[in-house]
Amino acid sequence: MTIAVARDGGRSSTARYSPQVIVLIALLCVGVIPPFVFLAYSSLHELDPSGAFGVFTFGHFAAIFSSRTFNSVIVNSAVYSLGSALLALVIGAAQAWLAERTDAALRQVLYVSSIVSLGIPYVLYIVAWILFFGKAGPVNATLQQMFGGTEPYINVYSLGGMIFVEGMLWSPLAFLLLSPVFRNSDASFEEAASICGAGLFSTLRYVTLGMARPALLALGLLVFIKASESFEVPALVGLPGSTRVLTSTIYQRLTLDMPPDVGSASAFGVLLLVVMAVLLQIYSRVAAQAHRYQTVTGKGFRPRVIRLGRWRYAAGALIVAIPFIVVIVPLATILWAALLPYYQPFSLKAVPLLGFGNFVQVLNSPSFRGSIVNSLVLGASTATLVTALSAVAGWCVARRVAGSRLLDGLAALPLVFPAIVLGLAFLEIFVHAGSRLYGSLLSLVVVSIVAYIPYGLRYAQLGVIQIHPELEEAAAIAGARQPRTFIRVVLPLLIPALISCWLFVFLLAVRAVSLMLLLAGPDSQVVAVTLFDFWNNGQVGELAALGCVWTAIMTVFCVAFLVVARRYQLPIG
Amino acid sequence: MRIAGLFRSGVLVSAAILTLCAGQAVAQSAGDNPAMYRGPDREQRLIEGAKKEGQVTVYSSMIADQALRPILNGFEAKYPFVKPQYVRDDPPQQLQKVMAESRANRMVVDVLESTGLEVPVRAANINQPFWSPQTEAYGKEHTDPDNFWAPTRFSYLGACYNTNLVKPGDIKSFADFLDPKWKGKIAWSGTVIGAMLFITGVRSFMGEEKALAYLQQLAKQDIVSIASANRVVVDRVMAGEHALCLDAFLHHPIISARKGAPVAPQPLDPVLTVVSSVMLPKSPPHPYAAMLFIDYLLSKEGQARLQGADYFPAHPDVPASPDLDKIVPRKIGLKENYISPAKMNSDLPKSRALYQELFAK
Repeated sequence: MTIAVARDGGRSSTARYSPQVIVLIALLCVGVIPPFVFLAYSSLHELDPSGAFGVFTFGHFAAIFSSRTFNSVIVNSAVYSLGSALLALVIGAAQAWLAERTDAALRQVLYVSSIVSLGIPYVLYIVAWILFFGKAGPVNATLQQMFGGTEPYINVYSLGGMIFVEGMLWSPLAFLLLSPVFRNSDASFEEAASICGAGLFSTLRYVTLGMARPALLALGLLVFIKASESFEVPALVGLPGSTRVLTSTIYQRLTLDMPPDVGSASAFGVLLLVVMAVLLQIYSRVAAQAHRYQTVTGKGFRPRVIRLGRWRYAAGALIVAIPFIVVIVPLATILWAALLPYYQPFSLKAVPLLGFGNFVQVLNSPSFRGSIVNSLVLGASTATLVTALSAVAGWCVARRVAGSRLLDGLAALPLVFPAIVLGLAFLEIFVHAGSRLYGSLLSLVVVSIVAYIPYGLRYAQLGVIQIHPELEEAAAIAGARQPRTFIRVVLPLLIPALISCWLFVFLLAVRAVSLMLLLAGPDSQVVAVTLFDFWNNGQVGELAALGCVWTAIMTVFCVAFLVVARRYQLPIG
Repeated sequence: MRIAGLFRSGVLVSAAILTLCAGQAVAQSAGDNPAMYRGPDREQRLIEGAKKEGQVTVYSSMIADQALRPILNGFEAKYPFVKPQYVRDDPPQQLQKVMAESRANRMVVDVLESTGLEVPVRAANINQPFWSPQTEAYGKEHTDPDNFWAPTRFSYLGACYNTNLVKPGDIKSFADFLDPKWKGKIAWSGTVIGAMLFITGVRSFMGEEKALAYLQQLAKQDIVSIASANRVVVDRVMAGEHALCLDAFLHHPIISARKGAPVAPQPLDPVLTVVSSVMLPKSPPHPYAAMLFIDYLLSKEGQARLQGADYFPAHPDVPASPDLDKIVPRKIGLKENYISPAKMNSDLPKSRALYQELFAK
């Protein structure tokens, strides 16, 4: 019975929604619909002096389209988003393939490095790149020494600089999302390919990457959307060089008003929704043929490790090179800043100034100490709840049960909310909900769940797509009911994907700044907001020291989690 | 309208559900309003009321570890029966929060301390007038005749430069920035308290016509707009990314130079001066504790804590820390170009238009 629904439920509107689906849809509606209505409403209204919605207007949309430089801004935005998505995909896929499918040396380095890089606070990661490639940074200084001249050779405040930094920011996500996909991909296809005479690279191109197509596409879509709506990199990297994308023009407008009018940011969110709907339509065509990509079947699957032979050392070099760029360079820049009394470019002259003053200051900072526990609780509870919700929802969506389209759409909706709009929407909701909830840690967890459910769902869904329903059918034939099948058959196979999911959501939730700025109260200060204050107050040294300490805590926490998870996973693998 | 209803009911439904999760809201303590009370037993009454309330919540934009905490600690040491708690935010977020609280009729904030919010907060009908015996000591020109705010600290704005890239004396006046050799090397903060305030300042002392001519010349210098707070621009100047900054809070380069950073302040005559202030919401949850805290913040004792945090105390009898005195206009014989909260606000639309037209191409 269950299987019948699973097979044609996607199309038949008469199929009844199962109770699980109804509960999931209801939960998502409560979390997602009110902020969405806020988004739509604020995109069409002026603010009155009390901050309430005033007159109806199309002005926010008009403002986006009427800009003198609209055409160049649109082109820049498209190039920026696409470029970032491609860069993240290439780096992430290369890492995932090397780590999961080859016998390359030092593979474990990749996991550690992507976790470390996700642990680096967002603002700091961007600033590190600015300092590294900046006019006064070590790269330009070296080039000037080599080739002479006083003008900088590399301009980081450019479209290329923006793509580089944003792509770097998302590459760990790409890696963590793709690694379970490559891990579970069935080696028999690759073996078949090599029997037919295909070499390493054509097997890689036509078989391995071919089978990962839905995952690559889903991921590309995700990064594209997130890059399109990101404010930080366009504002910090783009604006100083007058390279404008849509979000930076909106950001500028936001900083010019008191109170900040989020109308144009909302209007942008609405436009993004349209773009995303089109992109999701394209994606769902690919996903509709998902059965082609199922690699975990009843036959017993056994991912094969590809022997790289003479390429092994080249791969090893790559494995060292990627983390070097993604993590070591920014981290070294941050450490350098943390050890200096004030920031200055790298030089031997500055070495005598190095010291631990900033670390002492930071470790004694009551603001920082007060926010560590809050951040860990926030991250862990968000990650746990999102993972649990995603496991069930991801299965429903991947198996196309009745109502799965609605479920998928609802869960994808938060992707288009610019964080500042989402924060403001929830500020309104919580203020009305009661003074206990407003400003509480619980409220931050609620918002984070809404904000990160789209990521969780992608993880889980990609995991389920790879599992052939025949395993569940077998369980059903053997008399197991659906919940039991899910717990005993699907969940164990899904665990690698869910572990990555938990980790990633955890790191995203502790990292979020714009989302938390309006919601954190006296008892719910989180580290990311403390860091943001340091940054705004120009305490770069302390900020960097705090960043180092926090990155270390995150790394220890995540590695411990992975070790435990790996151990737990042993009987399954 | 239908969407409005939909949104409101959406909010209410989620609110109802979330309230159920969070339990019952705490009832607000009622009582008569001590805000304007001037009787001789004022302090005693405030203390008695505050004892019953037991708590005060302060929203401030001061740096938490250096200034806000020391002030709250001092207050708690003096009145141990009131537990102070705080939220530190930048002014835009502060405004969004108090507006939302006020519209929902659920104030959490007892005392609001900020920069540049005096006019928008009053326009939103959020705060009420108050009287404190401490304000008698403050100069009339820096206080609000309607008592809706009282000054807590001053800020002086001007230029700063990287001492490796600019020689002392190269830049002394507004006109010096127009020298073609600085083209592309000057940065400012593209925010309300940054470039907009600079433009307002220039309009205020040059007059509209001359200011326009000056700004048009300045625009030819390709000023780099950084979409962050003024302090961040100073950091970039220190790092050598830019040679000059137009709109620094002048104490920032001094604090950094103290640690050896290659940066120096350059006050420009007349010195752009703004005030930060404290405000009292209309129905604070702890009105007595709120007034007790405001009295403390404005007292010499409270103001002295600002001195240690490198702020410029607003109290005329409390000087800034000694090495900050070299930028206080009256100490170095420069004029003050005081932009009152009212002026900052009324001039903003035109300054913003000029900024967008000339600098944000």
